This record gives sequence, structure tokens and C-alpha cells, in this order.
Amino acid sequence: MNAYLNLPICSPALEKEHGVISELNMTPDEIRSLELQGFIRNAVSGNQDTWALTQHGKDVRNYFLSKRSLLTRIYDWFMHDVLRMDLTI
Amino acid sequence: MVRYAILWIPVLVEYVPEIINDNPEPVELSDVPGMPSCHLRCSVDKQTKNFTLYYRLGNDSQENKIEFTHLESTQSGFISYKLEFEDTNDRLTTNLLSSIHHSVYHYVKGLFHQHAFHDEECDSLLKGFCSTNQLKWGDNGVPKKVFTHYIREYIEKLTESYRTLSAQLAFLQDIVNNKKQYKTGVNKSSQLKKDCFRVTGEAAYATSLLRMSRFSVKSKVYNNLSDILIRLEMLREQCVDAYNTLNNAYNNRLGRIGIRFGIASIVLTAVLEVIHICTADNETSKKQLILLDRLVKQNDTEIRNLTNRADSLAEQNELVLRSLKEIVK
Repeated sequence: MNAYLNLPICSPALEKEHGVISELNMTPDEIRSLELQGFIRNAVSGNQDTWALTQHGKDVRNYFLSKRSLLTRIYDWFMHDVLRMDLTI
Repeated sequence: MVRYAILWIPVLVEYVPEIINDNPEPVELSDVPGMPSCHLRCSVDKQTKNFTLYYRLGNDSQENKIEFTHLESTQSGFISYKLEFEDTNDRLTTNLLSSIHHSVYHYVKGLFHQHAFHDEECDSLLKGFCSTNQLKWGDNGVPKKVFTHYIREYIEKLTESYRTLSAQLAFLQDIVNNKKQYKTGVNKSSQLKKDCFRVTGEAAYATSLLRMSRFSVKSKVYNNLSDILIRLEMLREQCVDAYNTLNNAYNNRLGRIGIRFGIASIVLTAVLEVIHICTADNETSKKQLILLDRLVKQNDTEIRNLTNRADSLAEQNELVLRSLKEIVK
């Protein structure tokens, strides 16, 4: 269930969170997709286009890629294994 | 050099764009720390809607400018400008050969548009419509070209947003249904709901554009945007439903467990109290009586001692008084 890894926002090229567009290891279509969705903003520096992740972009990236904290892991274990919660959405 | 641009100022109802911000703050755009930033500032004539954009790229001390001369505005939120600038061969002017740079378009939009339903930094970065020839709105085919350009931009934007939201919903379902991580699911569902509403806020402007373009564009283009808007609305329903189901089940579960713990505590306290009362013995009562007696006797002794001391003090006082009387005589 790792289809989300194909999304442009999950690309490892965005790990730095900012940089020069010409050095961004992504296709023009992927870069355009990120711009259109408001995940990156553009500026000009000298004669180069630059990019930076917006807060919205960081939030969506974290949605897919962030690891669970220890406290959340304990909560999850408690809800499922102790309180026997079972749910389908 | 001269270019012509027809810019869409996002509106929700038919409205001729007016300048609402005639004193915009200068902006310094910088994405990469340590790299030179781009400075933008503007001087605006609210009456004529003309303005001059001054920009400085990087370490250039010279400021260049682009003169925007207003040509016409339409009821559907489009505003037409003639752009005049020196051929400085920098990034912004090179861009104007085909389109208008995102940062410039975004800055210009800020003169006419309040960022509602979305964060300013997430404003849809649509490509502006640019041309080398002047286009009058009343000319044959011009509205169709312009509407089609912006509708295609929105189709692309909303299709990508739909793809991302679908992936987010599938990810949430995997976390909850397969991995059984309910607390994580609750956190993710809040984020998903916010993202949904952000996208539907953008879709509201697309809907407005679609409505205003009804008889101007080909039915295929019109239908493509209608289709994606309907699918987005259905996806939004699914996401909100997932959020509600997950949060209600989670909170109900916690609530029920809380009630059960509460009742168990009350029952346990009552049982312990009954046990304590039933196992209280006579030995305890006797010991308490003996202790009480001892305290009473102790009190009596104290009172006797105090009385004796009071009597002896009284005798001493009398002796002192007699001696004083003899001295006085």
C-alpha cells in the first residue's frame, strides 16, 4: 500500500525543503503539479528560479512520511490491544 | 518591449476587478537562505488601475520596472494590461515572452484580491495568459481563448489535488483498517479534513469561472472541469465521513471505558466500606473506653493541682496585705 510514494510531494528530492529549480531532480510536470497545488512557492534569485516548500507542502509531506512518536505508539497499542477497539472506515 | 496580459482575478460572482490595495507593501522573495532575494514594489494609480512594478533581482543595485497600463476589465474577473519594459534579458522579462512569472502574477493579484478560503502562500499558481498582440475582449474568439486557458489550468490543478487527496484517504484507510493505529488515524483524519476544505475552497473559484464561461468554451472543456468538480465533491464527502466515523468511534470508546471505570470505582469503594464496618470488633471498643478513662483521670489530676496552686497563691496574697497594713500603721 505504498502507492502514495509515487506522488510528487513524497519525492526524496524535496527533503532539503528549498533550492534551485534547475537542480531539483524532478520532471517539469511534477514541479508544475507541486506549484499548482500550492506545495511549493517560487521566487527568482539572480537569474535562477528557486523553490521552497510551503507550510501546506510540509504538512502534506509529513502526513505521508512522518514516523509515529513514542507516545502515539503507546496510545495506538493501548487502544487496540488493551481497550480492544476495532473499527473500519 | 511590449506584451499584453489578461489576468484572472479570482472572484466568486460576476464582478469587475477593482484595486482594493493601492498601497501594497514591498515584498522580498527569498526561498533559499544565503541566496540573493528578489525585491518587488509597486506604485499604483487606483483611478486608472495603472501601476508600475519595480523589481530588483539579487545583487543588482539597479531597479528595473515593468509598466502596466490598464486596457479593460470584464464582469467575469478578467483584467487586461499592456506591459512595457526594457529588454534587460533577466529572468522576469525572459518569462514574459511566454507567460508572466508566478511571483509577479501573485503580487499583482494581491492588488485586487483578498485571500479568502486559502492561505496566501498557497494561492493557486495558475499561469497568466500572455500575448504579443493586443486582444480586445469584444473581439471574436478572445473570451473563448482566455476562458479555455484558465479552465485548463484549473482542470490540471484540481486533477492533481484530487489525486493527492485520494492518496491521503487511502493512506488513512490503510492505517485504520489494516494497521489498527487508531490514535494515529485520528490525527491524520484532522489533517485530511483541513486539506479537503482547502481544495474545495479553490474549487469554489473554479466553479465560479465555469459558470461565467458557460457559452464561451467548447463543451468538452466545460465538461472536463464539471467532471472533476463533481468528483472532488464526492471525495470531500468521503473524507468528512471517514473523519466523523473515526472520531466518533474513538471518543465513544473512550467515553464508555471511562463510565465503566467510574462505576467499578464506586462499587469497589462501597464493598470496602461494608467490609470495614462488618469486621470492626469488641476489643476495639474496650480499648477506646480504657483510653477515655485514663484521659478523664488525667484531667481531674490537672484540675486538683491547679486548685491547690490557686489556694496557696491566695494565702500568700493575704500575708502580703497584712504586712503592708502593719507598715502603713
